Amino acid sequence: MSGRILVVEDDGDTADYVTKGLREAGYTVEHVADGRDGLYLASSSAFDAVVMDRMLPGMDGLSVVKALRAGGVETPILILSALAQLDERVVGLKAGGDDYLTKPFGFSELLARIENLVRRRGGKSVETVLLCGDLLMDLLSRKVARGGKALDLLPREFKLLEYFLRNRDRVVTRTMLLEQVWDYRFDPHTSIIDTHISRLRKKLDEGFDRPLLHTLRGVGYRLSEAP
Amino acid sequence: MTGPQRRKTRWLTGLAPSSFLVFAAFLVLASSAVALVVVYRTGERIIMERERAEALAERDLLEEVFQEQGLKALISGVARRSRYAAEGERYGLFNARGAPLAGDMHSFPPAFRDASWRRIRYLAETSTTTLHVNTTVLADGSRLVVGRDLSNLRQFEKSILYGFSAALTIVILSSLLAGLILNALILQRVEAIAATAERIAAGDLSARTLIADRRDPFGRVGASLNAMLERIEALMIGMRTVTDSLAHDLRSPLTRMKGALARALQPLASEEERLDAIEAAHSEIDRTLATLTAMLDIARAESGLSREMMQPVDIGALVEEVADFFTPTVEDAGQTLIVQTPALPVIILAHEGLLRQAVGNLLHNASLYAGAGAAVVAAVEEDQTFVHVIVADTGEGVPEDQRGRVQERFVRLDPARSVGGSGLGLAIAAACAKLHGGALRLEDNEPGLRATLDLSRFD
Repeated sequence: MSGRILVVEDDGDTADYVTKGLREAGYTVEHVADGRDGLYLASSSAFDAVVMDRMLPGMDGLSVVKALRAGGVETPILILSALAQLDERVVGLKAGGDDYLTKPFGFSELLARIENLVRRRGGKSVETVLLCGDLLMDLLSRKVARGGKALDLLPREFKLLEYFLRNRDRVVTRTMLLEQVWDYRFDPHTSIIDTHISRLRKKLDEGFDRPLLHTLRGVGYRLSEAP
Repeated sequence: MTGPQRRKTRWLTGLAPSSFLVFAAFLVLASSAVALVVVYRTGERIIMERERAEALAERDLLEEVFQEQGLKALISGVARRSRYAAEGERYGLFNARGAPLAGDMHSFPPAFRDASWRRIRYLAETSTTTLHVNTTVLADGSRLVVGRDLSNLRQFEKSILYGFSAALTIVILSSLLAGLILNALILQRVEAIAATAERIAAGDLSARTLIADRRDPFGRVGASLNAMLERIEALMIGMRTVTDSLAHDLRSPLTRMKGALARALQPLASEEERLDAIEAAHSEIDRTLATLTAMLDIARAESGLSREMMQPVDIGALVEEVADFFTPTVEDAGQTLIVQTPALPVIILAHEGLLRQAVGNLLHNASLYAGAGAAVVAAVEEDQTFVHVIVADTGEGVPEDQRGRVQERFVRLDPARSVGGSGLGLAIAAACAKLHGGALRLEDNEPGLRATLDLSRFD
C-alpha cells in the first residue's frame, strides 16, 4: 500500500505509534502536533488521507475539519478521539469527518479504516458487478453466484457480502461492520457480528474447497481468494 | 400563568413577614377609628334629640304655668328649676326689654330672639358657652329661654374616648401576646426542621424530622422534607452501589486480563497458546471499554444532554432494522422472532443511536434469558401521546418484585444465569425511555416478560 498520510496528533506516544505503524505499512507520513499547522499543511499540500486528533493545541480538531471542508478540501479525514459517546461520533461526522475512531484503538483497526478511506477515494466508479475469485455479485439483479451455482442470500446477508466485496482483500473489523453495514455502535461483547459472519460463511464457503471469508484473530475478517 | 399575574404574585410573596404586621396594625387602627366615628355620631344625635325633646317639654310645661297662674308663678317656677337644675340644664326668663327676671342666664343677647332650638354662642359675664336654646315669647312680651349646654355631650365624648382607648389597649396587648405565643410555636416547629437539616448537612443522612400532624402546613413541610431525604438517601445508596459495582466490574476483567497476559508470558507457552491468551486479554479490554462507554451514555441520557441530538426518526423502520440485525442471534437461541410494526411510518423526535441500542438490548436480553422454544415479539404501537416499542417473550419472565431492580445499573438477577452481560442493558433502555419523556415498563406477558419503551410524541 502506498500513499501520503498526514497525522495531526499532539500526544507524542500516540503519534509515534501511528506514524511508525503507517510507515511500516508502506505509507509516507507527515506529522504535526498543532491544529493550525495541520490546517495549513492539509490545505496546501495533497494527501491521500488525514488522521486528525480531536483535542489539539492551537485549534481543535473539529474546527480544523470544518475549515478544511469549507475551503473545499476533499481529502478523507479520520477523526481520533477519546470521547466515545454516541453523540460525539455524530458530531464528528457532521463536522465533515469521514470516519471516527475512539481511543484506545488497535493499530490494525486504524490501518483497516485508513485503507478503506484511501481506497474509497480512488474507486468512485459505478460498479454493477462485484467479483472475488469464482464469486460474483450482480448489484442490479441482486443475484449472487459462486462457481456458477446461485447462492440464496437473505437481504441482510447480501448487504454484508456486498460490503466485503467492496473491501475485497482488505481487513474489515467488527466495529467497521457494525458502523458501516448496520449503522450501529454496539457493545462488542454481544457476539452478534460473529453470528452474522458464520451464517454468511455457511452459505458462501460450504461445499467449496477454498474458503473466501477468513477470520483474522483479534482483528476482524477478510474476503479474499488468497488464504 | 400570564406575565402580570406572575408579577403580582411575586410582589406579594416578596413582602417581608414584618410588613404584614404593619398592615395588620394599620387595619386595627383604621377599623377602630371608623367604629369610633360611627358610635360618636349616633350617640351625639341621640343625645341632642333627647335634650331637645326634654327642653321643649319643659317649655310647654312652663308656658302652661304662665297661662294658668300668671307671671309670678312662672318666675318662681323658673327659679326653682334653675336651682335644682340637672347637669347642663339652663333656664332664663326675661321681660320684654330683655332684663332678667329669673334663671341662670342673666343677659339676653340678640341671638336669643326668635331662637327655636338653635346652637348659639352665649357670652356670660366671664366665659363663653355653646348652648342649644329655644326662646318663646309669652303673651305679655316676656321671653322664656330653655337651653342645654354641651356638658352631657362632653361627658359622652369623654366616656367614648376612655372606652375606646381601653378596648384598643386590650386589643394591642392581647394581640402582642398572641403574636409572641404564635411566633414561639412557629419558631419551635421551624427549629425542629432546621435541626434536621443541620444534622443532614453534618453528614447524618438518616436524620428525619418528627411530624405531629400531617394536615397542618408545618406537618406538610416536614413530610416533604422527609420524603426528599428518603429520595436522597436512596440515590446515595444507589450511587454507592454503582461505584462499588463499577469497581467490581472493572476489577474482574482486569484480573482476567492479567491472568491471560501472564499465560502469554510463560516461557514454555507455544505460539498458539500465546495468541489465544492475547486474544482473550484483547476481548476483555473491549468488554471493559464497552462498559465504560455504556456508563457514559447512560449518564448523558440521564442528564438530558443528549437531547440536542434528537431528530425525526421512523420508529417502525428502526425497530424492523434492529430486529433484522438480531434475527440470527434470536434464532440461534432456538427462538422465533416476530416483528409487528404499523404499515405507515411512525415518526417522532428521537435519539436514534441510543434508541437502537435500547431496542437491541431488549432483544439481546430476550435471546439470553427467554430460553429455547420461546417466541419473541418486537412490536411498535402508537396512541395519542406515546409511541410504544414492545419486546415481549414467552420465557420465564422476571418476578414482579424484581422488575424495578433490574433497571438499575449493574443488577443481574441470577448470577448462575448471568451470561456475561455488562448489567447495564436495561439501565440504558430505561435511561433512553426517560430521555424520550417516557419510561421503561416491565410487565408480565403471561408467560414471560413484556418490556415496553414509552416514547413521548411531544418531547
